[in-house]
Amino acid sequence: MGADGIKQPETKDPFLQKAIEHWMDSANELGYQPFFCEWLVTNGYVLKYSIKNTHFEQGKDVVAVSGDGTPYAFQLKGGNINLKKWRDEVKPEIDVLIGSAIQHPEIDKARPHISYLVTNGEIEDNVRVEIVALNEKAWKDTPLHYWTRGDLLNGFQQMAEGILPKDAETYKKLIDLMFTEGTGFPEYSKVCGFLSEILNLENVSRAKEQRRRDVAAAVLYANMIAGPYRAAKNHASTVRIMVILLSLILHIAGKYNLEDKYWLKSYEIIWGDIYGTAKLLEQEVNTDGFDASFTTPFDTELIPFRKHSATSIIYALKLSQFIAKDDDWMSLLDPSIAPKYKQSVAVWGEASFLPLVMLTLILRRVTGGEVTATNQMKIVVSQILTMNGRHSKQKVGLVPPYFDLDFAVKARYGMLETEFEDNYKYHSYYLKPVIETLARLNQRDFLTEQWRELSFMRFDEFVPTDPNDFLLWRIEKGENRTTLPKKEKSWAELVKEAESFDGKTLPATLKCFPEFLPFFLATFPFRLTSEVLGYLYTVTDK
Amino acid sequence: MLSMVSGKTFHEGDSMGVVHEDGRYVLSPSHHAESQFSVSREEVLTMKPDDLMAKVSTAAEDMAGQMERDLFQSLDESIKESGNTIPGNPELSPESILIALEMITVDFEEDDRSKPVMPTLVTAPGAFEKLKEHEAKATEEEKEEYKRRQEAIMDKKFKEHNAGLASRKIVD
Repeated sequence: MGADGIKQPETKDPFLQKAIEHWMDSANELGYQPFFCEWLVTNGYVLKYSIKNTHFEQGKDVVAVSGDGTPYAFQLKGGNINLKKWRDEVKPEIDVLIGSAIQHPEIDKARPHISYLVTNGEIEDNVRVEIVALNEKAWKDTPLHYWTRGDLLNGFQQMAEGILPKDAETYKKLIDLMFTEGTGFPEYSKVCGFLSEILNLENVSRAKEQRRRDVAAAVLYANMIAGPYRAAKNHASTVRIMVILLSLILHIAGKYNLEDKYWLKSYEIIWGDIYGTAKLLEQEVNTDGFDASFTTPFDTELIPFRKHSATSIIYALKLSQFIAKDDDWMSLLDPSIAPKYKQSVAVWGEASFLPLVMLTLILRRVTGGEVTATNQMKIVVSQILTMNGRHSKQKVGLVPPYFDLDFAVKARYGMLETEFEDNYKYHSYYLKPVIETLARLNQRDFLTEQWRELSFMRFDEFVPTDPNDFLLWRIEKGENRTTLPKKEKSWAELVKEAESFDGKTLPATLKCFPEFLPFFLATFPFRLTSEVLGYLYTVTDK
Repeated sequence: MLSMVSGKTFHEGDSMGVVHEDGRYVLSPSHHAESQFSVSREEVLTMKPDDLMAKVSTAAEDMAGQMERDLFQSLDESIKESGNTIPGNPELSPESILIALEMITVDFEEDDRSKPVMPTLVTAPGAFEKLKEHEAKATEEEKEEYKRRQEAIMDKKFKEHNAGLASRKIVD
């Protein structure tokens, strides 16, 4: 990428070169698109949009404006482009890329844009010859430029160079995270640990400009880690990796008071990737059901878990669309689609109720959906009381939302490395916020019926000392709080308490992007508290 | 003692807080427990897996001991604070057990009078031996009388239990 005044890289790190090469060669265009956008931003372009696989792209996957105001449009491809691929697939899109104006309110349609074909493979010689010929004739006024594997590799390495700590331990962590089959669940705590190091979370004296470079590097490494999952079309895991990245970026933006210019564009790129990947998952399930979630016949036993993993992301997408007032959320109500999600929620721990909570927040606002909404919350209460209530005979009970699907699968098949001796009788993390939701929904009769048993429960929650830490995977300073409910509870007091939770203790950066919160919860289910659910209730009321 | 306590894992944070029914709030810091074991160079040459396991077990027992001591200290403080001690601090005997039963809340499994959830007795070894001596010396009549008194306490506790259940409700 030597064009347009962009610095030529000096790659010094052979491991980094190989690692980026490996990632880039195994990625398709969707895989490297977020990082390509990040690269543009780092090099002074203002990103206007980045879209994935839609009918509206008009040959332009990414549109950006350079420092002097020149608009650029990029068509991204994956792999080598031979003459057949060029003629059958690529050239028709390039004709549209060059021939149609950029549709964006901030870009003057009269000003010609510069068109780029970008691929992480090579363009074969006979295609190059054809491009040269077209540039001399049909595309003379608006010639096509291209960047291929070597250009991307240099540009990406340039961004990463000097940012990754040069110690063997960090390299090993990256290798462990990158070289995986991509069909299962990533080890989220390790992903988070690695990205936290790249983002220098604990380094309080880091300059803001350095933080911007840290963010760019973290985007690269997150994409490298997500690479195998993208390649395996494991959209749910890909989304969660990118959600972790975005949460950490919001954390440093809040904690270190970073101005928008240091992180907001990165937010938009990553958010676009999360949203687009979740939509790919939704399209896949709406078209073929959950078939693609199972790669081998041996997966049969895992079906409920994999379905659940996908459903929790799709319901997060729907709630996110609902919050953003994007009518796409209505696909939930489509009678041809809704049956595909039947029995897609399996009960394996408290976190497994999250999709029901998300659905409730939407359905309570839909005419005729109120009964379903309240019934779902009642089911959650009944299940928790059955599994963890005082009459429960369960050895463990429903595990807290800190335990994820990966744990549930291992526990079910006896694959845990140590014996699990915890017991959660009488305890619950989700019960209190769910009771409060039912109070807001005016379900006094149900709560009156259940209160005798509910009053024996102990409501658990985690309260961070610094509210900004809320976006972290694990928080060092904070209180594990248990609340014992009153035996005799006033209904008026219960409703008042429920309504007092409106998100006031949540980080300001998170509240700037309420549409991200459902995805955050689908990845960090242990952060669903009274304050969070109260906040979601409030934003879905508007 | 630790094996009788049902465990819960805390995944983050450095303290534990309890908000009681009456609004009372108690915050306690997490306590750190650690133990060490070492293997000398000389030992490495002759050490067998069982020897290593023995060292690990000793370290684990040491840690469990620290945790138990912490647990008893916390229990002791809570009991003193709530006034749940038997006046005069009598020695452990059938009589003192009945007095203790009178003082505590007893739960009943499935709300069934025949299924009281009896408390666990934790004693020093010497005190337990004395208790057994009391039992061995008791006549059949004394044992019957003891059983009758214990059942009467349980009847009272069951009434309290049911009254407690009835008081658990939502009001205006």
